[in-house]
Amino acid sequence: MGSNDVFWNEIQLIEEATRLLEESEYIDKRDYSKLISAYRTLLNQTKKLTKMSDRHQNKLSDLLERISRYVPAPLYKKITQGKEKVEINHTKRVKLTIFFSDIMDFSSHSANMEGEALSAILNSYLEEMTNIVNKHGGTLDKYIGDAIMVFFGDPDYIDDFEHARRCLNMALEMRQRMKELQKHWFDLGYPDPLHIRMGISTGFVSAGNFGSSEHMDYTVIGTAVNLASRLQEYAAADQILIAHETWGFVKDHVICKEPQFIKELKGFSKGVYAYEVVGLKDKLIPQTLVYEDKARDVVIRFSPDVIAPSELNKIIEELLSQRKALSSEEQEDEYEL
Amino acid sequence: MSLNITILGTKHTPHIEFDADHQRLSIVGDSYPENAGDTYFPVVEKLDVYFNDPGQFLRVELTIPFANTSSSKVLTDLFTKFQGLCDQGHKIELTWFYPYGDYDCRENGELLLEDVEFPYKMVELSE
Repeated sequence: MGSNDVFWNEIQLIEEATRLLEESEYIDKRDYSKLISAYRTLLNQTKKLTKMSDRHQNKLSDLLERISRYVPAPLYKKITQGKEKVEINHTKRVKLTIFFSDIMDFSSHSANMEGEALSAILNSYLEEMTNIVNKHGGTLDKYIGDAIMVFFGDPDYIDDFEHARRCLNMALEMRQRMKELQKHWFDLGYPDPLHIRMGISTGFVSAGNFGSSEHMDYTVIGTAVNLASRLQEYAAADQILIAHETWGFVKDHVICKEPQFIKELKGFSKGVYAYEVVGLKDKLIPQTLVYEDKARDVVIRFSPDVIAPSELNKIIEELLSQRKALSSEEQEDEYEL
Repeated sequence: MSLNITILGTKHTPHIEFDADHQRLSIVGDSYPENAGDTYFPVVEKLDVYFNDPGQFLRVELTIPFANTSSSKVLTDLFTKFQGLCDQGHKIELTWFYPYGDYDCRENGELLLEDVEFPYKMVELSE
């Protein structure tokens, strides 16, 4: 090995072969034999190196595949394509739609289960929900036990309306799938139905790497994140609660009940408006009920998706007082005539 | 002039020590430099001088968990050279150490050494 070029020997071999060809009409049998021997060595080396290189590539591919299971799919794609900076203090402000869910009273359910059954149910639940997250293009931020945090809009941004819509579609599909899973778990011998509750908000957050230089987590922080989490905690069983800004983006896409003003939400001292999502606008068949009050001569047709039967009395009182006011005006007009 | 040479390891290159006085060559660490020739050439130069004296003996101890393709090329050339030296009457004993449970590293060593006839051993390091 003369020069520090790793292919020095091969370069010398080719130069020697070239020289032999150029300088003589006939190549000596011994020189030719030497060349053949050198080429044979070269071929063996090439085969060896190719084999090793293939093995390295296979190992790398295997490692990446294993790592991909611990990192959200959109983020994994960005990291492996070298588009994300792997350092802390690299964050950006971006408007996202944030989603939180958990299984209501999971702690007390898990106290009643054997460890193996608990693992089986939790893993099947997380597997199903994760498939739905991926189907709708969400970024799965983390699992916290039975809780799931997802966001839409990063690392791939489309537009605010699209992110909010996809999030809602995902939430509704999760709710539907949960109903199917309840039957499945019941058949497996677990009698108590598990219920999901969900909170969604939209707003500006800081997205990026948080933690230490040795161990960092790609996540999002901000008021919208806190709000989604609080709405999820506030939600009832099987309820999807969305914040006002999210509603603004999806009101043409989903049907919601009248907004509720939640006065006491931790971290939000001024209270917040939240909307309970009923379903997709184009999928829901409007249900109409008829309420007849013969004594007061009132017939009302209403959709229970929009108006709760408990609110009916209040509405009737209001209508009756308006009717009375109208009647008084007509009588006054008659007197004037 | 002493033939001894120590090349300190870096994130991408192994620690290399050639102790001519004790007839020992040691290479320890991952090897994936930009230019493998630059990394290994200085020690190969020393080896060439060392083996100018007839009937030399060298104990070679290698612990290279990962070697990129150009480093692997340098190693195969080195082993081919060692084989040539043995054919001329010199003596080489080589040990390929591999990390505990790292059978890929072991197989890489076996592949690199499959054509040699001088004695070598595969030794698994303790956990």
